[in-house]
Amino acid sequence: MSLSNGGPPSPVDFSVSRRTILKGFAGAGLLLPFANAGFAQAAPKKGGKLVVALNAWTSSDTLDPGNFYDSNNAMVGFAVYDLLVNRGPDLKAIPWLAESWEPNADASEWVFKLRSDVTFHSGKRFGADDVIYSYTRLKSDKSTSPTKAFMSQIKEMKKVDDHTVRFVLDAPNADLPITFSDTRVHIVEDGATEFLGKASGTGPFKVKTFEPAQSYVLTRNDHYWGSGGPYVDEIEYVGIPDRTARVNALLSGDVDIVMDLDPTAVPVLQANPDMVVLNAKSGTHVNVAMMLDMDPTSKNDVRMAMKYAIDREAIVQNVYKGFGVVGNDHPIAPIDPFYNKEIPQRAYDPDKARFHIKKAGLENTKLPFYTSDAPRNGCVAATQVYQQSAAKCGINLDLQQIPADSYWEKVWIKQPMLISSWDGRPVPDLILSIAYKTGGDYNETHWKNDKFDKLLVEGRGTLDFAKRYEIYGECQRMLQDDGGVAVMTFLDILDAHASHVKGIKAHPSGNLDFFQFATNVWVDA
Amino acid sequence: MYMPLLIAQRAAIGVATLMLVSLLVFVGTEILPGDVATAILGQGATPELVSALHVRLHLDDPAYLRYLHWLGNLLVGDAGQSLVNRLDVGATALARAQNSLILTCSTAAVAVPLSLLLGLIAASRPNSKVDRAISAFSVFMISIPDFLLAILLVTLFAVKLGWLPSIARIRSSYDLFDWLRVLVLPVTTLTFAVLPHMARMTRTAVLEVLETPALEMATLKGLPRWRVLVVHALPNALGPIANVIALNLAYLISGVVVIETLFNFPGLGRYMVDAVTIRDVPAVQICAMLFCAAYIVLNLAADIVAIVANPRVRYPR
Repeated sequence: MSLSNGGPPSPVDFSVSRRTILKGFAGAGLLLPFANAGFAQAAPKKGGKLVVALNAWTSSDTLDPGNFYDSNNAMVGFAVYDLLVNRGPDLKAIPWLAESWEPNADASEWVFKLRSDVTFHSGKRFGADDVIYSYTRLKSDKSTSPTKAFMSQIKEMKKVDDHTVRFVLDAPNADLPITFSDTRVHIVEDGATEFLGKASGTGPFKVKTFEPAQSYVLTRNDHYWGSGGPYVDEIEYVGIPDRTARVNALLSGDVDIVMDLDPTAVPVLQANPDMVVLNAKSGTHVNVAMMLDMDPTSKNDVRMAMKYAIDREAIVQNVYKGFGVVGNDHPIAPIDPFYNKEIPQRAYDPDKARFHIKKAGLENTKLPFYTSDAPRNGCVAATQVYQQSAAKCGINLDLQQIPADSYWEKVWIKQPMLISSWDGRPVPDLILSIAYKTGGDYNETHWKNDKFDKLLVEGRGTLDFAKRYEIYGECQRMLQDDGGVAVMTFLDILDAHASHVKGIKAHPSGNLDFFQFATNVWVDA
Repeated sequence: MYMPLLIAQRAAIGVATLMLVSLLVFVGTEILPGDVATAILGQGATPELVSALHVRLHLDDPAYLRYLHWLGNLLVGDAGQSLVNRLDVGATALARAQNSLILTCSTAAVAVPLSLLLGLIAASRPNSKVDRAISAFSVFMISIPDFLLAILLVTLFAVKLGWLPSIARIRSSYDLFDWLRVLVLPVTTLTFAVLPHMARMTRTAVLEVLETPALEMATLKGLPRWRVLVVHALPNALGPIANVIALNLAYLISGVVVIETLFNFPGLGRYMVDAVTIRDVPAVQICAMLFCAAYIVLNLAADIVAIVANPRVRYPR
């Protein structure tokens, strides 16, 4: 069975097919109608310069892909490098630097065929050695990359020929291709060790200057392997951490594109005919995390009370101004193809919440709840709404606000009840295996369930979609009934640009077309 | 005491203060919760990744060794490498300091003459309508938070009218005109922030001097009012005025993080705040040293001005 969709499509063919998919999305109401007026428009023009406002720039920004910690860094990285596998707006794997791939019968060995027409910015031809080198860096003992958690499943990489690599995994994994669409597993040049200030990738833009938190300027790669973009001559990135300043910079014309809007800014921009707002439903969520091996949340009655006491609708409307969808008590988003539609939505139910908290003997007892905006903007406000809705159920949440810089270290996975947040993942396994597997480093609720772990292994090794749907559906149901997670909301990804900027689409996996706006963006002068 | 000796003494005290500050800052960064490894990794921190980063960054060496090592290098002009990106923090901090200095000097060029003028006008006719208007204006400006003023100015001049940029993108290719465009809004905001203090201090100091017998004598012997004020009163009042100016300038270099954030101005204040956030100790240290140095140099300058302007300080009885 081949998982690639036929022959290797050129990026232009691909962008057309992606447009079709996007239209399908819009029709299904997954992207809001104003998401982008941009499809099917005039032919792109070459030239022009763009200034892009990132939501941060820090001294930890780097051109070493394995150590991209923030989406602003990923944004620059995606313009310089390419992935082996890309991800469509339907969250399916699509060929990129790899033109096709094929698993063995149990998905424990994969053969990836690479494009043969790709060169690095340095002029060197791209091939199997670069893939093996790039991935070895991520999984090696010395690696400090968070990707090590899933890249170390690769037991062995064999160069079959210059443009073919065989991956031997330590266990079957049907999700290997989509795993290679992670934002940090870009392909660097074989032997590259220097990532300060300059770098050689295969991406649509070359590095002109890269001084952390000071200046990021990229110029067009005229030898890009794709046959569509890149179009603009130069892209400059500016980090503007303050959300108001970022929108002001767009309104005053100082920047052309901004990533990551405050929901309150959306109506202002929508009312302005010179501005276009991009909106994508995503799997990024804000959730309550309750530890299953600590009091009081070890009692399912307490967890049930906490789940029923969240007025999720109020949080979506008041804190996120409607730019989100309510979550259920598992981390799989409604946009995920594996989302279990049969599980009823947990509704705010003060009576049931009161019943459960009474049964646990903790009615009106002070229960510490830890919060911070470290997980994501709006988390503190969301907990405050939660505190009020819980108070009406006889649950007395004692909010403890922790400074952002010590939240993960001092509180997370250490206190019984707190707020947390996760970026959206393309497949269930990449969140379930990371945050819900027994003994996992990021298992924030200490969820421990043998049957669940077995299902994860089974799901990973199953290539058939219908079977996997059953498996992951069951995982969602188990978490819904017994788990320590309650998703308050799945957040929309909100970006904006001036109307002279064309060719940027919304994407559920990340800001500004899954961080890849640079490839297709053009300026309508 | 001779003047050079006096200045040398002050300078020596300054250097000692600088050393003390370096120690305090180091201790301060040591007792901050978390370190660069957990700060970088955030939610992604696992014991394995943290210890790998620790080894890479030599964070497991004893604190006093790291401190002495750093201090020794600093004395020969090497501020060390950033723990985060391994760039030379000295070069980065100096580039940022240059931006801060441009902002400070531009603000000073506007605010200092303006506040002296306002202070003198107010002092020349105490309790007159003009004096009261200036006082009311000063109190009003002190009461408006600088960030509010900045937001109002940006909304009006950048967003609504589109005359000026809302953010400061500093580039090496900037010519004077580019710089002026970028600086107008932040300088205006900061001028309003520091001007009231300096104007009020000028008024108070000049009025105090005016009440002395010598100045009464000058008035009695029929000198014109402006001559009494500018030639006789101002030099004698210069000591305290220089002091408040120095403090305000030091504040401009080090303490305008909010304004730097709002205008996205790449100054030294924001560099330090960012460095603290990510626990980049060498960067925090060099910023603290530069801030401390700025305070010391400016205070020294104020002292020298006071000494030059007032012989009584030079020859204490």
